[in-house]
Amino acid sequence: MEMDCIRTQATISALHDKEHVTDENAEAARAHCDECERCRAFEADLGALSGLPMPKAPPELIGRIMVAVAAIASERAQEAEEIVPPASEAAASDLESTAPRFEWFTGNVRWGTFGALGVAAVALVLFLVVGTGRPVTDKATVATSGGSTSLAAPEAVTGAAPAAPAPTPAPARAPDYLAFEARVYTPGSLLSDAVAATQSVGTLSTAFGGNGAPTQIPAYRSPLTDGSIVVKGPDGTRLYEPVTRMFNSAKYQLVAGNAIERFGVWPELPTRFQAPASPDGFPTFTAAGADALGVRTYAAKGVPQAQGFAVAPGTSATDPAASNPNWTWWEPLLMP
Amino acid sequence: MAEHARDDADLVTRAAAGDMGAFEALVRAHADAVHAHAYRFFGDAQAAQDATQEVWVKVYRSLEGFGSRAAFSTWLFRVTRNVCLDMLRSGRRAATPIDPVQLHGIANDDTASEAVGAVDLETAMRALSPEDREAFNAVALFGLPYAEAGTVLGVPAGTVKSRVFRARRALTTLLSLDAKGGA
Repeated sequence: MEMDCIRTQATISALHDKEHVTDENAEAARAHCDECERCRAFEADLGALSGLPMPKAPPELIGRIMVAVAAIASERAQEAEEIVPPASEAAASDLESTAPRFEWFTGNVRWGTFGALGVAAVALVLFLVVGTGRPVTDKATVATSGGSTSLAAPEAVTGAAPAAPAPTPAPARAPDYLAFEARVYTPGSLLSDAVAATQSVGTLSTAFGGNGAPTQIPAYRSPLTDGSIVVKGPDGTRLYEPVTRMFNSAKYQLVAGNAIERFGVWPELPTRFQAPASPDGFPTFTAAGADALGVRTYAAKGVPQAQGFAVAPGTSATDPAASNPNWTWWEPLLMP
Repeated sequence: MAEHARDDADLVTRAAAGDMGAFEALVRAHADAVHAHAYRFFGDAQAAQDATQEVWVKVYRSLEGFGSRAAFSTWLFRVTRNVCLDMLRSGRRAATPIDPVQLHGIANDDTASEAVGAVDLETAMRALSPEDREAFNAVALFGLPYAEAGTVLGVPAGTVKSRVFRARRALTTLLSLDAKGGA
């Protein structure tokens, strides 16, 4: 079988791409090249062409890409948190013994399963109303929003109201908190060196999860605009996200009055506040409202709630306060 | 190629599970190919960077749905091509073709080595037809077999073979790599 130059070079091009070529065609192309200088040159040129440099992505572009996807990851985590509807705490506490807990929402969130929880809440209400012949509480309502149904019972907001049920037993150990300028942060995504921020915004003191003495380490400006900071820890460079709760459509961050210099330390009230002597906050705080999750908020004397509020011990483990056994204090989120 | 595909599949699985390091490894392994395709598509560095970032954001958002139904490189090429076309259709960016005759004038210069310096690969790329260029990119940048490239481009594998060959002949001629001329 004889080949002309075009067919020979087309075969060489296919072989260059490791495409299948019949033995007969490969042999014919080889035979042609043995006698044709132009086709031998073409074969050599393909190698040269492959060796030519192609436009490389600038190194800073990879950093930008990783910042963009880190922002998406952060948004997703935030959305997963916000899926918990207002006033769900009451229903959740009633259902806690039979329903999956918050991991349920942070994993594969599906409205279908969330709806199932809502149906369970409705069923519970109907059972109590129809079965007992009286409402759950005088002011209990069933609120339906966004395809989910939840029990809204003002009396049942968490946070150690006088008539509230006994607080959830606090976990023995607090989450892996860091405190920077008295504000509390929790670990977020690991970042690559390409993303690592370089602009220091101050220092914080921590031993991370170790038992050694805490050391002063720099906190860096986050590439995100969610109030997070970047800290280089023993497991790499990591985003630390502010511990926040929503109140009046604004974010409020947990403020610590004590030094949190290693993981597992519970934040306490700022020292300017006397620890309440009573579950209703007396004499330091007075019940004043509820946050977006239906958790009761308490006002300090002379401090508008917009500037800060307290939350009583006894929140659920899925609350931003994470079952903190202490009263906690929350102030408007600041960008470090 | 098969080894790369296995590595990619592992990285995709880990990235979909939230491992940002794995996702970054994917980006580092393939960012140049995405960027080069976009650069050749638009002929503009800024547009190429914008497109590259948009591609990886789309990839990240779609990781969970990707599964393993196709080779990652095939999927990545499809996303890259679509992002570039969408940017073009939306009017956000324009492609910048160059008249191939001008290139011939330089490439046929007696001093072939100088011509190579004057007409670099990326300039020569713009002289190719869009069809030949994207087929060449699918194979040469993303490492796609002809059949997979054909699936993405909506043409038979034989057409991909022809387009890639035509692109190579044009490039070797334009760049004076084939100094003795072709058949």
